[in-house]
Amino acid sequence: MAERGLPVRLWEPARQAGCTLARRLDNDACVAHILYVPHMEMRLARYSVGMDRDRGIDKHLPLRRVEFHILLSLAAGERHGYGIIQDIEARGETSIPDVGTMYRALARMVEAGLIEAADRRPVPAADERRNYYRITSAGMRAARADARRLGALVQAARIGRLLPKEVK
Amino acid sequence: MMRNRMLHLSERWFRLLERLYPPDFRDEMGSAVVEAYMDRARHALQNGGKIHLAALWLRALADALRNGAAERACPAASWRRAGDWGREIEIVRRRLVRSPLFALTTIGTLTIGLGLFAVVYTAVQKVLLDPMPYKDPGDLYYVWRDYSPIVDLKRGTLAGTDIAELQKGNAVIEDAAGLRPMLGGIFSLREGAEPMEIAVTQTSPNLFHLLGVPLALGRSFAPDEVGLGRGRGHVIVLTHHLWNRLGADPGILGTELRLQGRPHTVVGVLPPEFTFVRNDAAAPPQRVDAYIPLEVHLAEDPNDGYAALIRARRGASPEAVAAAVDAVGRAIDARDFNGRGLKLYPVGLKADVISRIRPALVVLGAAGLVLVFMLMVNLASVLLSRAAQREHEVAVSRALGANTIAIARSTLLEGGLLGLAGGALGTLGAIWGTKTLVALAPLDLPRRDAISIDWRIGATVIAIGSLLGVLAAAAPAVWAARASLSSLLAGGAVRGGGGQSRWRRAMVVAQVALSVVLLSSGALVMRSFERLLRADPGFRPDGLFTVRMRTPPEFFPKMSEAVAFQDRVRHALAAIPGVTGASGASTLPLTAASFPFQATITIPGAPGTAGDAERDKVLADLIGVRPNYVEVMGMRLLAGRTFTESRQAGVMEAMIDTAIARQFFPGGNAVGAKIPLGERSLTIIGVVGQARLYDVHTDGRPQILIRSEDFGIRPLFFVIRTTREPHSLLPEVRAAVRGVDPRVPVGDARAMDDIVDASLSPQAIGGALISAFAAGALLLAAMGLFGVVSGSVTRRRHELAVRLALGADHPRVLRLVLREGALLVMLGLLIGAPGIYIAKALIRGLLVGVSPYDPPTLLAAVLGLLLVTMAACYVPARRALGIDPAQLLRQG
Repeated sequence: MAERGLPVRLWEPARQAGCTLARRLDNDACVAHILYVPHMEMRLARYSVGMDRDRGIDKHLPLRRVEFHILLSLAAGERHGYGIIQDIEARGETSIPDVGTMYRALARMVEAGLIEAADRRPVPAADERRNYYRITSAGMRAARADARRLGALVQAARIGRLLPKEVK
Repeated sequence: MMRNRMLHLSERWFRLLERLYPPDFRDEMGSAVVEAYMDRARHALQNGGKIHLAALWLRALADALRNGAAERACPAASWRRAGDWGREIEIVRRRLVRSPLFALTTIGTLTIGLGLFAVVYTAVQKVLLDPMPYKDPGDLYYVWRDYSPIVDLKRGTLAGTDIAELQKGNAVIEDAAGLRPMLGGIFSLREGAEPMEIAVTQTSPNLFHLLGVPLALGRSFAPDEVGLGRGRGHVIVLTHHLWNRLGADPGILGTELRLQGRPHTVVGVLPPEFTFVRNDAAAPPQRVDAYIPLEVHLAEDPNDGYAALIRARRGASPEAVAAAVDAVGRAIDARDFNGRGLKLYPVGLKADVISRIRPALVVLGAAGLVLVFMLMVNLASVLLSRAAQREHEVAVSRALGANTIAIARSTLLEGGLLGLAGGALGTLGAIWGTKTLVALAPLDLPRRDAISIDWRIGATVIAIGSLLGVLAAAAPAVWAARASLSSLLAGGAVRGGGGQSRWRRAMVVAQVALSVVLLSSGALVMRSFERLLRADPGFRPDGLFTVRMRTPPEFFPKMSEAVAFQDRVRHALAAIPGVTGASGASTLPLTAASFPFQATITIPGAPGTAGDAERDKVLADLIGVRPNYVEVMGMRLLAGRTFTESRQAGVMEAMIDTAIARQFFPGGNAVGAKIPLGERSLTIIGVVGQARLYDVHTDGRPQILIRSEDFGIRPLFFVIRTTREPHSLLPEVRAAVRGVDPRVPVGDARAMDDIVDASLSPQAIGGALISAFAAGALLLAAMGLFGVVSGSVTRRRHELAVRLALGADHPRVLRLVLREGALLVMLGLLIGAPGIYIAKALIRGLLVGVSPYDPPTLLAAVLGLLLVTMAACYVPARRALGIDPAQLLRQG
């Protein structure tokens, strides 16, 4: 599976003509994807890494339900796709997301930088390898922010007598 | 074993479902999705067995369908390269937004073009193609009698007894109905209320049953309600629009209305979709406002004047109907006409109604198709130059792995989106356009009420727009997809080069060919229209005002009372300030709205009588007029005198027209001769030029003007000559008539100029449309040529710089550049020439007095085309002269 790397494959005739794709770290802590053509270079995409990137978690809040569940699972450690689904079932959630929904959400969150792909390792239950995911610091911050938001809602529900008061 | 097989099957199923996702997502996540599903499958098999597994399969299908589509429309990660429709549409939209001028001009052109097309399509569809609102309209026919063995009248009315024969029915004819106009339709809601005029038709009681139309309110006529004044009260059935005019009161059934002063009980109201036009033998179809039963039973009326409508049995072929009608006709011919050979023949209902308008509509339809083709070519050439500009960008995405289909698809999408937008906006514009068309169209246009845009037509136009856009983008898409790597490696786009210019030239040639055809057609139609405008109708229409007033026998039982009333009205009208004269006639020129009386006359003893019984008989129109008519109308008096206020006792005066004078009195001296008419004879007192009744540009049937009171003709129309603006007279005219007798309504007030314009309106509309199309085609061809020539100049600038440096003078260089454009124009002319011949066949119906191969007009059209196109080539060619050879060669 492609990491947050170059998402495309080069057309064979182009490669033979001398074109190449590369990632380059610019001076201003930005990563650029470059298509190198003989006599020329063309920039395809540019995004920032490091501090700049992290500040952008607000645009992902509030998280979708599936996304929050994914972050919840990954906060505890690295999981693979089906493992996350099993966690959701174990939590007693009534509407379990479909596999397609789950993996689209995973792709979206990798794109947003909230999670990243870890190594491919064997699963305890089977002999086959699976793709594992790991939460990033941005993802952790986003998960905490959303959990706080949910907590505040629960508190308000208790005050409004929708939920019983906490038993200390 | 079983378990493994189930798992194996599951894996195959999941892999199949994987294909529903777009390729990028498949590459990245596809195997992970399958693996996750396999884990679930194992779990399901363990816990629930085959049932749970089957349920999982179904869930997987639903999941793949939903998420596959969602991923294609709205991909999770933005860097996806292909297979995502939503992203592609988004990209195309952004591209269009970034070049607003291109997008706006293209959408604007498409809007105007598709809007015009929508209007044309609506008119053709509603009038020509849509079925009429009756049951099985294909089985309905009008039956006419062919009087040609006796007189020159091919479409004549039938007698009541003839229709009774048809009603007897046989294997082919199921039923027949007879209609005749009611003379006079003065109508008021109650005694003393403001009277209005409506068009009333008398009909046999089975008409609505024959047409298969159920009434909205009440009932149709009963068979025993035929015959007014036979002890039963008079009854009347209203049309829906008349009912609306009267207030749309459901309780109107059973109430009484006054028609011609007599009370009629309303027994029924027709449904709103029912529009029936009563066909006349010689005149255009008439609107009907209300129906009353016939005065006499059909079988007891041997008089002519009925229009016959028959319904054939289901499935009867037109030939069988014609044969059956012919058989009945022959029997009648033998019995009533001594076997003179008078035939009956049927004409299909719709064909009969639209026969007059058909040629214009066919032309309109063809012009619409040509317009769509023109738009397509124009859009294609525009998209092609855009594709050329994007050549570099396309090469990059090719290098990054986009396949041919994806690249072609984005160009097709662009064309489709533009076409869709143009179609949608065009439909909106056409809603206004059809309203304008209906307002401009002549009042007697058949099915005029039905012409409006409904959602079906709107959807069709939008679909056609999108299809047009996609088709137009086909050539550019193919060209773009074949963009090769060389343009990428060369590091800069070679603008306007190579294969793309071949396409552009082909399109310019097509546009020039189209322009030739449209221009020549337009020039011919305009020439014919100009002829019509200049034609002398036989009288002076400017400054004439006309109103329609009946003097019904119910109000004026004796002829002398009617005459006295009319004289009083005439004097009252002449007394209005600004009026120089007033008179009356039974038929107005150029309307034939109430068709004139006709009579066959012979003038025995006239010098021109050849002794041949056939040639010496003439079918002439009889027009009853009041004194001073010729002077008020401004007709030409060629010999003798006109009717004056005073008259000789015992002498019935008549004025003949030049046709009769020429035939019977070739040496002159018509005045004083006598024409026998029935038991009486007319004395010719003068010869006048015809005030044309039918066509502006040519004389119709010969005319005889008689004093209306001599024959009991009650004139319908009053004509008033004034120095003021004609329409301003209306209030005073109404007041004058009210002052004489308040019971008589003044209707149908029109200026004669408007009547002349209305008779010319088919040509006017056709000419305007074709000219608009021609101008548009020419403009597009000129733009195309401009583009080709300037592209050529840009491409050849090095070569031209070398030539200039080597001493070529300016005219030579100009000729060199112009040669390319001139070649395209000549090619277009050659290809378009056969098209001219095809178009002539189509517009023949619109041309009046102009031959379709009129050389001067065609020459003028071609010259005009050459002028515009060469100017379009010349402007960019001049740029070639501005090339600085030294600088260009230094650049290399």
